[in-house]
Amino acid sequence: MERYAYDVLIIGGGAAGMAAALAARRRGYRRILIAERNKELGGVLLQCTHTGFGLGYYREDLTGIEYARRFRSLLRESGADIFTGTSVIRIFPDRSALLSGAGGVFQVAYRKCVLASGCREKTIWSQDVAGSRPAGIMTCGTAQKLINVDGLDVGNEIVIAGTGDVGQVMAGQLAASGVHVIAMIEKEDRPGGRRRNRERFLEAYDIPVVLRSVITRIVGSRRIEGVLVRNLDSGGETFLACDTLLTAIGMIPDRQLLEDCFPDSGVPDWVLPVGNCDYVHDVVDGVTLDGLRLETLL
Amino acid sequence: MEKVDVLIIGAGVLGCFAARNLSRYKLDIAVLEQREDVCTGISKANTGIIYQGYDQHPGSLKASLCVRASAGFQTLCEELDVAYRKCGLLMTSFGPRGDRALAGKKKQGEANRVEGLRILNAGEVYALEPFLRGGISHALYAENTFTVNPWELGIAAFENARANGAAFCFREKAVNIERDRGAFLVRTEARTFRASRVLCCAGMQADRLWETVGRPRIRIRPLAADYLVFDTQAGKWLSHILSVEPEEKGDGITLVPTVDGNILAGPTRRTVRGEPDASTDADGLRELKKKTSELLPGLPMDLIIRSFASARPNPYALEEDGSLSNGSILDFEILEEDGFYALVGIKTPGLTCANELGAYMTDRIIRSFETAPEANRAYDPIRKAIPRVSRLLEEDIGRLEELPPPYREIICRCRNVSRGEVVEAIRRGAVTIDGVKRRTGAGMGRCQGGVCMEKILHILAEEKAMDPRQVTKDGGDSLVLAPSCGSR
Repeated sequence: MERYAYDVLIIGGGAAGMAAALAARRRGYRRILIAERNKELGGVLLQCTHTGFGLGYYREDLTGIEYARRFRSLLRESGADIFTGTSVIRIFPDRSALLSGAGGVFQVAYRKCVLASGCREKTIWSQDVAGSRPAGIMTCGTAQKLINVDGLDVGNEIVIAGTGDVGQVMAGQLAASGVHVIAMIEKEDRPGGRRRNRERFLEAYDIPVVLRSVITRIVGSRRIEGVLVRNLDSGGETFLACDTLLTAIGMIPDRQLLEDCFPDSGVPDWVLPVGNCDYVHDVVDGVTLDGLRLETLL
Repeated sequence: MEKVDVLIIGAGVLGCFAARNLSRYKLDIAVLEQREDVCTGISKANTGIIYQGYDQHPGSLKASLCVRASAGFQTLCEELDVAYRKCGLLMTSFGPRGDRALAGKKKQGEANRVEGLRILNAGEVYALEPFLRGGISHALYAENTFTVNPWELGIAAFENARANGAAFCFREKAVNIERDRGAFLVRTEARTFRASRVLCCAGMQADRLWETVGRPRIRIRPLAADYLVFDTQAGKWLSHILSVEPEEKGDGITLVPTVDGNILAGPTRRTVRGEPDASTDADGLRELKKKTSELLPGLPMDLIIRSFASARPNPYALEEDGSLSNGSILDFEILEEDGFYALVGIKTPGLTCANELGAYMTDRIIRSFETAPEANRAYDPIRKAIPRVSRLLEEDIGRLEELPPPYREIICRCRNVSRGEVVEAIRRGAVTIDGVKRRTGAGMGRCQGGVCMEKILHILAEEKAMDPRQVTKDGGDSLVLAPSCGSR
């Protein structure tokens, strides 16, 4: 098996990974590798057609796609090798990793490893939800990709579980395109997400938010037909008919590679999680700054 | 009209294994399946335990098939290239009542000639399972108990039966059966089959289909069961199958370490009113969580990634006066009349015995012909599984390099499933997102398809030359994208 040597292996070519590459170069590292599983760098930014990106870092209001493109052009400065379509499938305690992609299956030895693998969305299945398991249930992130990247529609009558930022973005976008967003269901006594998003999406499109409530049951045999919503204060349950359930109930840092490599012990100092796989950031500018911060830490 | 020698109704794990065993002979075999794929009903949702046979009454068909199945299980998995985990089963007790039950099971197992059963004391149990709650009295250790992914076993039998000449007819439901001069005419919506032997493996519908030709003798009362799945991170909490012989009356719980490193908790037992469906029950899920945390107190409940339900057939004898027997039928019950055979209400250990039941039914059917059918000389018991990147990662990293290029593109990142695996699954018969999931494991990880479902949707559309809007999650009307949506 081929084995390559690098100073820094960066796992993930989203906002955090790209910033980390710049930081590594500024720190003086020469041999830097970014491994990105998708065909191009940018991560989740590439499915964000809405604006609100770059206000902190660029002092401009960009779409996610614009932000990714703009940052990509900075990467030349880093001199990093960029392997797209390439997944890191294992990291090992001897400071090596196994990569798989268009270039084959190969090993990389490194001095430092930056984990920039982002976060995952929690699914409805991790919650106490009874009932059937029909089609028509997905996370807002999946829906965003289907709609913005693939040009497909996901549904007509939509309930959104949770009021996280990505949920608000989707609610606004769907409502703007004429899709009926029936309600967002929030267990707290006020909507989550950032105020800016609440104003731009929830309030601008009059999206109904059902507070202090959770979905307790899914109804529908093949395709979802509705959800049972329980009010946490009264205990009363209401049926909401819908043909699609999207979820925006939170994000979890994706550190599966670390868990597989160090199941019982702590993470050694040569592995540095940055961006959303360290903790989930509110805005991408924060992820970028987190990556750039490595200039002093790496 | 299609003329076949043996017509099997239902392509669940029983129908597939019956077809596999019958294909040892020179027979025209057709398998009718109402759904679009194999193992979409009862077969897809159970604990996946391969029992040794201590739980069956001595002298019963169940006992003899189960013990034989257990002894031959590794060979079967090698022939069919199915992954299994030899994890062993610990049936734990918490006091004198449980201890007596364990001793009884051990004695029964020995009467069934189950080998290697041992009663362990508490110290020995905690040495095997350090995270188990305090207060254990003893455990019955059935070391040669295995787990499998149940659908993997059924799919392997299907592929092997098909390679040996059995014809599988999907989306063809038997809607009417009638006798025709020593044979049976089985009509589907599209066509009519004529067969001198019919083997009904139709799960929940087996009693109704039997009654189209035979006197009503058994009725199925569905039971529903709930299950919880914990993430692979929970895997370290458990290395053996654990079941509980409760001190008080009531159902225990079974915790299963799966082939893929998850923990499966379940089943609950609920009676179902009306048509059975696969809906989980809120109380059932609560009960499972409670019992799981009682048994493994350290296990974080936020590692739950999925819950699901299944309906299981529970057979009752129909008495002369039209009433049902008090208790359900304990043994495997096989109905037979003039060449029509029905497996009605096959439940635990049905998965364990699937291949043995197939062999047993084949034997009965073959003996019923006046001139015995010739052996199928081309019969090959070997089937090769789809190469799995995730499994090579555990077993032999070097071999990853030997796989063709599509196996290098990772589609499901929780489970490291590649494009090559997904494409091969489709070429072997997957037509839905869930069909791909059952064949590859894609979407079974902690993100539950959040990343890979969209990619699999496109691969399915591409391979099947269809619009992505026509792709279904699980057949029928289960469109992934709601109908009447257009492209923007």
